[in-house]
Amino acid sequence: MPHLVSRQRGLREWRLYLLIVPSLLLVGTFVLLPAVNGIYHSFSDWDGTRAQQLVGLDNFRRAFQDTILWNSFETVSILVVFNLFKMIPSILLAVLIHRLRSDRWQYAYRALMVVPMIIPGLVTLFVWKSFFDPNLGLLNRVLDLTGLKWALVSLDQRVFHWGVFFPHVPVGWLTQPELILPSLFIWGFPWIGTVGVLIYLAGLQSISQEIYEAAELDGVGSFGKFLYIELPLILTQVRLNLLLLIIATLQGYGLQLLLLGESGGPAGKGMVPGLWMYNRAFIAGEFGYACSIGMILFGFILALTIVNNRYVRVAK
Amino acid sequence: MARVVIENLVKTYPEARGPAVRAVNNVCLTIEDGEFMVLVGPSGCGKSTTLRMIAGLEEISGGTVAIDGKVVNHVLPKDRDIAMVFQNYALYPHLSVYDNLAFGLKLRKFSKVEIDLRVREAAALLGLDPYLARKPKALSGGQRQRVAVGRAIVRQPKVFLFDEPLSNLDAKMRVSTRAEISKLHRQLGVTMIYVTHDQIEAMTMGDRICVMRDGLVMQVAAPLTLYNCPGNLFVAGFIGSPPMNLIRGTIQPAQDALQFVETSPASSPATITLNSALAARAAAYTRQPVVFGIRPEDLHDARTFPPGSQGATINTRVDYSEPMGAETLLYLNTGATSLIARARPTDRFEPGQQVEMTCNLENAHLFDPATELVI
Repeated sequence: MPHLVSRQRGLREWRLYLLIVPSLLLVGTFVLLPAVNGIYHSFSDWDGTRAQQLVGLDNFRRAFQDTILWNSFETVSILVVFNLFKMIPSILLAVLIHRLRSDRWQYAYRALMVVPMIIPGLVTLFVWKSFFDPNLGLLNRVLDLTGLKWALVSLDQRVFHWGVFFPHVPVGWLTQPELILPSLFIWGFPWIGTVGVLIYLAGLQSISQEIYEAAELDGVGSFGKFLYIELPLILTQVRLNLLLLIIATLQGYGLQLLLLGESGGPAGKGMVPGLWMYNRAFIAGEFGYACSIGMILFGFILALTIVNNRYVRVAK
Repeated sequence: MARVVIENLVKTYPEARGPAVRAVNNVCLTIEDGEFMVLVGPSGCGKSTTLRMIAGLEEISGGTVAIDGKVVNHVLPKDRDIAMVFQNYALYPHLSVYDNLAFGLKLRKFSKVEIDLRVREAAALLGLDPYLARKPKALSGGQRQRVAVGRAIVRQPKVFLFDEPLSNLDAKMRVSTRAEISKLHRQLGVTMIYVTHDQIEAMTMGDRICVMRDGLVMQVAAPLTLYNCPGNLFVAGFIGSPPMNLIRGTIQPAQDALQFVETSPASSPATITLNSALAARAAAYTRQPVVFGIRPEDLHDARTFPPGSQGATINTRVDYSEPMGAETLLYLNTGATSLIARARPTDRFEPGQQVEMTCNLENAHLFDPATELVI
């Protein structure tokens, strides 16, 4: 009797829906409501107080003529490309750990990967800020001690004529406009993303030992195993990391805020959309305009995610 | 085409505590050119380890493996000119069937034309043509195993190694793939070494079978030789399904003959008067313990035992019977020993029923319980 079955199932589902109501309420109140609120405010001239007026598309019209905003999108695009390069060390490290013969060491390294997670991100940022310090920072000292500084100065003066590196003058990593982007690239060296490594490792561990052995019989060498087996088989994980990374880069501005300040450093070279949104809201008090920047950013990320899902296909 | 000679092969695994474990212990085995050799034995008997040492996937702790007269102990797996089929197929999941087949050849820098030729040839041989563009995930277990076999074929190796290739297939698929591999061996005529724990696979496929236990070779012989003339108790019990009945007892003199008397707490133990052939062999064991072996098909209902044959009758009680259709398996009890007999499907037996069973002494075996060797 199909009717009876479907009624029973309906009843069961009805109870299940009831179970998710509390979490739905919480998510609704603290996540969805502010987001919807943001959409509403993006059409207003809200300045953070109660008084506000709907201004239609004014905020968006303004945004399209806002050169700082578009420059910040350019900057963030460059950062995304940087971060693509920064994925490589994590993949290599994951493969190296995976190839360790001793299970015990493999476990130890995996555990070691988790340790950095207990350090708050803010602390890491402060540590890096101190690294970049012209006089006391680790970076300049390493450059001096290794002679790399000398090499940079020679390159600057004889080949490229950047006008950035001078003998006996400490490099102002975060104060010279030309060095802002390179600094943001260097940041996080050697670019080991611990979560990334663990995600790759999970993918690598699902490759059966027999596949490695079959490859060995086929005559695949050590690098060949990486190229023909490991890399293709963790592409799903790489894609996931890629997506997370792009979204994080597009949204993020904590790094820029902390290293460069609320105006994006000298000449605004480090200005990213998120920071500009923050700047407009909390420095200029233009909350309505900040909301519209947020909406534009949202659209941007959504579009990229769709593209990523559709075109960066990986066989599962 | 190659002859594989294994001499005193040893594999030891270091143990954290205690002495090293010898997984393979002084194995000597010669596999002739074009022969289908099956390594069979229970789990942990060292058969897979032996195969993996031949493949070069395990380091050899002692002894030598020679392929075509050349010792390959220190030759890389890829340079041994062998191909292996794994239990879990080990196909590259991200490559299509075609690319799976072509992969090894591409790495060996074969020309595109040659690769295509060989892949298509193997695909035709294995009936894989319609699936060349598919990924392994879109194939059934049997098809995947065929791809794995195909990957070995395209390489045209000297020796094929199979490591329990049918274990992951369902029963029906196993039977048909078994036949396919046998057919392939006839077509290609190459040396094949095949590891299995399934004695039916071993019996049906092998030119010769090497039975192993605890890292030792128990017996190497043609399938029927193993079945009819097992060299020791282990082979007698391992080969054959249901296995050979083994009755413990002693040899006693009786008038002008020798008798096998079952060791039993019962007042009237099973007693078998040996025929002249068995008696000649048992003479040296008078009043000593032996094991009497009789296959289920050589244990007949006394009423239907063909007259004129050399038989000895024992009294048994029926525990239960299993009608299999073509035959009925009869589980019997002498009071001290459980026995299995093959009975005709038309015969009816009730649990608890007393039955007289006659052993066909022409096919009976005697074993020394101390050395476990056949007498």
